[in-house]
Amino acid sequence: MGLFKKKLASSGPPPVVGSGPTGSGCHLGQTIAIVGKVTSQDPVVFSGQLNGEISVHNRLAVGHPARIEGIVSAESLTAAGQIKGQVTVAGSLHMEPSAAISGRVETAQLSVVQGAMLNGELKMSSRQREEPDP
Amino acid sequence: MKGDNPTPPRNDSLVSRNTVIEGDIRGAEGLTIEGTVKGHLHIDGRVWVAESGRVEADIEAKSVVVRGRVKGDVTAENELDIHPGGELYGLIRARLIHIREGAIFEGRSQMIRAAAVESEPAPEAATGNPSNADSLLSAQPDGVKG
Repeated sequence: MGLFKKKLASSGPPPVVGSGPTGSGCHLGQTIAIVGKVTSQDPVVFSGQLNGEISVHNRLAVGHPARIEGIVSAESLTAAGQIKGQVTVAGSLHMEPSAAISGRVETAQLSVVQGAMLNGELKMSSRQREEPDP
Repeated sequence: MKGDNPTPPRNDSLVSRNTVIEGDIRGAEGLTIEGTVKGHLHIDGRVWVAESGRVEADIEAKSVVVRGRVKGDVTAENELDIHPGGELYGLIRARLIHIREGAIFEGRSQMIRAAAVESEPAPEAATGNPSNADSLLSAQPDGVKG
């Protein structure tokens, strides 16, 4: 048991959580509060509050001090805020020190930095890892 | 041309082109919409609907710039500006309204007077009997002329 003890990330993905817009991606700042559903094909940086669902077919960064309650799905996720609910990540999930996730988590890759909180049910899904181009 | 504001502020939150938000959105910062928003927007700042933006929502904001398409009732505490190519269908309320040549507006407009924005003190009840307020509204007997 103890299936999902913290795994220290020595070579986690580069953090993309920031306070500014990321190129042409979607950026929702700290004062933004949404009750409803967010769907995007673009990279998304979310730093506000969401009660509902966010589905991103791209990179999602949940910044600090974001708070999300509901359903989160993304191609990859870098979390620095709080998420409560169901999290599904097709690729890699990276948790920064300020991150807190509670609920059901399904991901192919996981890295949890010291200080991050991960409580709940974890399922590591297998996914074809793309070989890097030679 | 003065006041054209062709580019949105860079520090706004941004609903990008391939993003759809459905629901209630509140915020205290500028919001630029290049994607789709459906529901209700309450923004204590400027809402900028870019050319590609599609909004089916009621909007309440300090000011609103429309360069894309908006269907819904729009209340701008200060200024509403519909640029050429912009389309707005609904009721608009604003203190200052610009509808530029080449813009489309279908609906009704209502100007907010400067004084109306200030919180007005409740008027003294002329009858000296404020508890009659409900009955004044609901019980107008027969509309008799003197």
